[in-house]
Amino acid sequence: MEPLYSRSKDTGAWIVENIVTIIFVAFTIFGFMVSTGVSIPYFFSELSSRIFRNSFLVLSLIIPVLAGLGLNFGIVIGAMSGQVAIALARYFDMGGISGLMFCFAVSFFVAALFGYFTGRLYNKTRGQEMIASLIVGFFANGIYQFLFLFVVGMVIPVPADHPMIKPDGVGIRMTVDLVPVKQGGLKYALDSIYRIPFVYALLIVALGLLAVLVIRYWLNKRSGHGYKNSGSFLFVNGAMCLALAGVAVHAIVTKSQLMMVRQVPVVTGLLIIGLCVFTVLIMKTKLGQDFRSVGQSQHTAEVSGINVDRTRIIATMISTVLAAWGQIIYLQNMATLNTYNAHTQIGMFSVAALLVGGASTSRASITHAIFGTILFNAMFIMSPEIGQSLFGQAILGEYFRTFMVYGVIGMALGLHVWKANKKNKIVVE
Amino acid sequence: MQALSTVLGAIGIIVYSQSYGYAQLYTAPLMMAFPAVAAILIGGATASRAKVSHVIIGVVLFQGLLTTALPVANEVFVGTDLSEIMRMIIQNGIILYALTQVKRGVQ
Repeated sequence: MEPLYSRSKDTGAWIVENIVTIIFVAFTIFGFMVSTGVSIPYFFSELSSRIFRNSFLVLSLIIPVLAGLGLNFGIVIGAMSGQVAIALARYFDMGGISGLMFCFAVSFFVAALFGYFTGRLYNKTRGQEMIASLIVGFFANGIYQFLFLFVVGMVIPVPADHPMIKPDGVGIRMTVDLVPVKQGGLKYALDSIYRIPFVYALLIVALGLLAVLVIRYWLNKRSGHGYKNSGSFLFVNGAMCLALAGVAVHAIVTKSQLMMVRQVPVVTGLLIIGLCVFTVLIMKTKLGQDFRSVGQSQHTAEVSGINVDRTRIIATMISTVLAAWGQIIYLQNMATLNTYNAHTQIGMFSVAALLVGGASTSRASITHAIFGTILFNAMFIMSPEIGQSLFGQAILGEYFRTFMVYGVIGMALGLHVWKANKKNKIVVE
Repeated sequence: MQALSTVLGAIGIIVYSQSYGYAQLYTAPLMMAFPAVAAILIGGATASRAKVSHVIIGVVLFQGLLTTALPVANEVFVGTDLSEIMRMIIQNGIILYALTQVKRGVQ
């Protein structure tokens, strides 16, 4: 249990604990200094569109961590459910908001079903949920490929001249283009509902965060929980929000470069904020308390009368459904369905993003997820540029990024095992 | 113990490459781990107990399964290449099953 207040943490310990975050921030700043091809509008355009694409997926990882299931690499299964829904919608040429609602509905049921099975698997592999989730992702990938490459065409007859189906009539193509929403398709179906300029969004977010901070401070004071307030916390975060708002206002007034950044999709942003609120609210319910109890100690939770198995299954199901919806949001922005590869990377990248934000295998929060998504995608944008500027080959930046991504995950898994062994006093040979 | 295992793995991939005829420098090491684990699990090993007999039986069964099943599958399902998919499903299914059989105390 972390102490209620840890004002007296020395800087050395803080640096060691947050070393990954520091490395990523340093990398981004270094990239700006070194590379010549990255302009501010380009960087923020890319960063904002990536954040809106990926945040939902990273946020879906939080609940399993809180419920003691570790890092749920099984969101790959949720992603595949989302892709099944998108493939169906594309096949029947559904589009626009109704097509999107269809996708969300279908993927809900598919993901809930497979989330249930995944949850039962996690219950059978107690203590090794993370490695089981990794393998079940590969296993499900095999079944998904069997379904899409073989069942479609052989068992389910489909016309060979449909743009989605391979020329020989069996199997779905490797890449399927989503038709733009103006022509009745799914591309940007969610994004194009309403867009606002980047600086306005920045201003609204900064002011909103400031309001949340102040209201929370005031509510704590009013209900007698004044000890939870930290003057310095409010001051520092409040100052940062005001600075951000100031930058936005300055950009609007002086029509600086920031005005050229790509417009921000509002509905997607609202969905992400909605998921943040949902996560916070569900942890305050009885179910959320059950998640926390099971996460801290399964034995104690069982003894207190909580149905541990059922709670873990529910946590997995929620995570899988959220991952399915997150993949739909991702695909409607990417606009191309990379049928056999789109889902394989997202597990690793989402987990790495969450870890970069400062989460661990036993502790994750919304700030970890959002902050991690921002940093992770900033590195994604910067690494080819840095490689190009420093060494003349963009690919070297990519290698460094791959090294960092897997290094982060490996370090988190290693720390997890180390802590678990220390707790159980098991000697690992 | 870990060092010995890694050294044997290095020797193993050298033997594999010289037999296969190609040194797949960038992808073979990543691909090597899971089939080996699946093979030893099929042979009857568990996460806490493994013998040489498990290795021999497991390799024969796993590779034999993939070798013999593929022509059959290609006969039954004409025109598609199911080899990679079947390998994925069998291999990962076996590993998953073995993971569920690890006996652990309640946390």
